[in-house]
Amino acid sequence: MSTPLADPGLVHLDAVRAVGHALRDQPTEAFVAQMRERYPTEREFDEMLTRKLRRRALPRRGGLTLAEFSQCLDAFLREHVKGEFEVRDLGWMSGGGSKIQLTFTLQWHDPLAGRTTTKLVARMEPQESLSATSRRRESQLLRAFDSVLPVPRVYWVDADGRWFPEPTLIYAFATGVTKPANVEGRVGGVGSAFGPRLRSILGPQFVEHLAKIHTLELAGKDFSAFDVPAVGSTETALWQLNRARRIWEEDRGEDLPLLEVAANWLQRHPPVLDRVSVLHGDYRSGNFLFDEPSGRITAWLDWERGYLGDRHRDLAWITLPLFGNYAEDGKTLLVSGLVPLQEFFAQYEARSGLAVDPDRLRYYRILNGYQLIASSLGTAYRVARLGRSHQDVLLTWIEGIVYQLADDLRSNVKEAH
Amino acid sequence: MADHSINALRAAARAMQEVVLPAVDPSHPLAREQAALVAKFLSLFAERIDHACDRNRFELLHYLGIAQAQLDDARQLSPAIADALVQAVRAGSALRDQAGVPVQTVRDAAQELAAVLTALVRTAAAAEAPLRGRVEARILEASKQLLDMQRAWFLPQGWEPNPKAVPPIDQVFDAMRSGGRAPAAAASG
Repeated sequence: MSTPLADPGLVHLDAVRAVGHALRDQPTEAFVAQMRERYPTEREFDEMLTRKLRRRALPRRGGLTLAEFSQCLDAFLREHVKGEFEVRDLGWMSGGGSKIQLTFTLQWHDPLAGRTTTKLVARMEPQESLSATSRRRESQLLRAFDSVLPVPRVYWVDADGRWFPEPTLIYAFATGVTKPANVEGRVGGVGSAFGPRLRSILGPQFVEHLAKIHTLELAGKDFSAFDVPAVGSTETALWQLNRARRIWEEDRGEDLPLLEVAANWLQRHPPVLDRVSVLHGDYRSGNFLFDEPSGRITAWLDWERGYLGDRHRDLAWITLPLFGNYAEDGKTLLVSGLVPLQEFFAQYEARSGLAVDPDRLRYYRILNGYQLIASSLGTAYRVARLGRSHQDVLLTWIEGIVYQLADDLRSNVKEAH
Repeated sequence: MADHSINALRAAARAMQEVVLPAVDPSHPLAREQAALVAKFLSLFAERIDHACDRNRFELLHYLGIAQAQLDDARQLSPAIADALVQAVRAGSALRDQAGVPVQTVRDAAQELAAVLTALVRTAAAAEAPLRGRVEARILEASKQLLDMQRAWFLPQGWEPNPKAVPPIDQVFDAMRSGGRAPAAAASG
């Protein structure tokens, strides 16, 4: 008697049905272990995602008050500042959906500048974030670009949330605006309309700074919180794909067959890495500040998604229509509202000396779509459902970006299929 | 008694815009940003509340169409998934033809179809290329209509770089009611 062939669909059917709200709201250790095994990724990403799941089982903490934060800050500074200090003007900042940001002025003795007054920003994880990322990594990236690009000086990092309720980075307050004063921007400064004058000044800086990021020499810099993918392999693409798939699996509130088709395609076609670059991870308008009268970029912010990998990931992200807008003719797509799409890649190649490969660009455009949908539909839903962030209402608002991204992903997979 | 929900939602949005927002502490930008979003949400719901049932029904019809088109290939891939698909199609079809079904019931039936289709696509990943290609192509083809509906739903949020590319919401649901939409397209191989 022959043994009947096992039904290959059973395992998938059971897996899809076994993971519902109950498990995602209160993950078990077995579920955490399963996610880690099924979706291997960079060590620091793995650590952040694992931490996220383990802490999800903790009770909801509710809103943090300024007085509570002030106490934590005071304890932190007593440990890290020598001599007398005074904190003034502590207040909330807006902007961004993933981190709690506060600003304050510190009168203190700076070892590099002597007795001084410094305006600072504290950037802290909420109880659960739209993006489970590492303050250690963010601080290493900011320090790596300290003398290369306009970035705020990093003062301190509480990487494990020892003094603050959650991991916190403290850096210099940077002056500038994310959009022109007369423009009503979208949430997060996405796709702002800059107008011809600012475009002509900001556009070249936008491309030049990107070229500097992608050509930075790693030697002599501290990238200890990063894994370096092997050139000539598909490692980086699969690490990033696994990270995105893991997020969707851990957080989603619904099934979306289209996303599964995209995952199949991405799994079948990972590109080979030709060169390791530093990636910003969220390079777009809204994440840089500029001085409006002169048009000079004063700071690049929000490095939390940065990693070492394939520059095409950044390039595909930057050129998403969602992050741009159309010029006055209604036809020309402006990358980040600044540079015509047709000119962007040529300018980038000229300034960086690095080639742009359309096939890899397409792969990462699909992966970016997948990642953004996983975050904006999956993580945003879960965090708001559990009431874990300071920006739950904003997290539910960004569902509105999902469907044009999904349509873009659909078109690209269909074309490549 | 008439349903005055839209009137109430519009009044709530106005209260946020004209009374609450101007009174929010200007030194608390986080509070200002969130109060503005609450006002925008209320306005969006006032515009869309009449279509809430249509939206859920659209999703059910969408997944029903895809599931029916996948049945033959599902049988080749996995008897267990084919059985689950048949059951989900049967349950969904019964709701489609029934009046007065609670929104949550419609939503659950659509999600059951989506869950089984998810398992089907994952199983197809290891199948021979022609079979896998057919399963995936049907979903790629049919998803366009679902995404157009969702983009139309969220259009007032202002995210679309080219709003003219998105069909008006009334047109989307009128087409569904008149049966003018084709939930599942033929496989292209």
